Amino acid sequence: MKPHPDDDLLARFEHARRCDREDAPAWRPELLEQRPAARRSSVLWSWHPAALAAACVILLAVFLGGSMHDEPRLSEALPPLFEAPAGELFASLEPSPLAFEAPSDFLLTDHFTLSIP
Amino acid sequence: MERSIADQLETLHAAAFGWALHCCAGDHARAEDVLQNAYLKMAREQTRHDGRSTFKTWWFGVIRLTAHEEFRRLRYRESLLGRLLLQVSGQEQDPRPSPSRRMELDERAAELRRCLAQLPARQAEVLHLVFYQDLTLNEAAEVMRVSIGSVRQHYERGKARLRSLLQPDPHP
Repeated sequence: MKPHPDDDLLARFEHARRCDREDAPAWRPELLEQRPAARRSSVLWSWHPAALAAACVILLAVFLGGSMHDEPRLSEALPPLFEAPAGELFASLEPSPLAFEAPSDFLLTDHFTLSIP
Repeated sequence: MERSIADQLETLHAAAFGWALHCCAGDHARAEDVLQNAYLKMAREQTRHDGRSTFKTWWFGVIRLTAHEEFRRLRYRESLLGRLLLQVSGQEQDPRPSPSRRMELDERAAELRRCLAQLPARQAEVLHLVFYQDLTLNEAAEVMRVSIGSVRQHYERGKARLRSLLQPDPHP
């Protein structure tokens, strides 16, 4: 009989299969009897839309309640700090540069001064 | 659950555990968790065999998907945040097999697993499905959700690579 070309690999895997089957856990048919737990979880999931809707209503109420409450504007709420009339600071210490009026030709030297005969 | 489905699951239980073990890189505890979660999916009717493929290939597809979900969960648990939360909750456990368990593992089977782990995941999967689970290449393609051409390519490359990795078998 002609040997199968993959007999070497088949023998290896067959040996591994025998080892694994000795170590395999026992069959437990009770694992297939889990329907009640599934029902409990589905009841739990059925609450989710209701809980989500309630959370949305609460958030909306908080948001709308917050926006309807009129808070005073900041500029109105702060006390007036500078009520003094507008004017120059330190006016008494030196003459104001704003008050100085230079003559139109005060930078020109004398010989540049034109004299009209 | 229908009696016929429960009977088929019982018949496939040992083979399904072997497949779960492969999907979990040989980690027994994780493979048991994966298989248990797959059974729970069936019990809660979160998944259903629609008859488009054989029951075995469909069931192996469910186990494969469950193993991938478990892997994502495990990756989170191994992340920094996950480890921190586990330490806080006091649920930390060592996923590695105990030294005594390691001694029990058969050396030839362990070597095969080590070599498969060095292959690309798709190549290792198709070799396991064909040689260990006795599926055809078409059935393996259904389980892996890839085309038959792709599976054939993974199969041929995987065989060649696995032979190059394995030591000559002293007990042929």
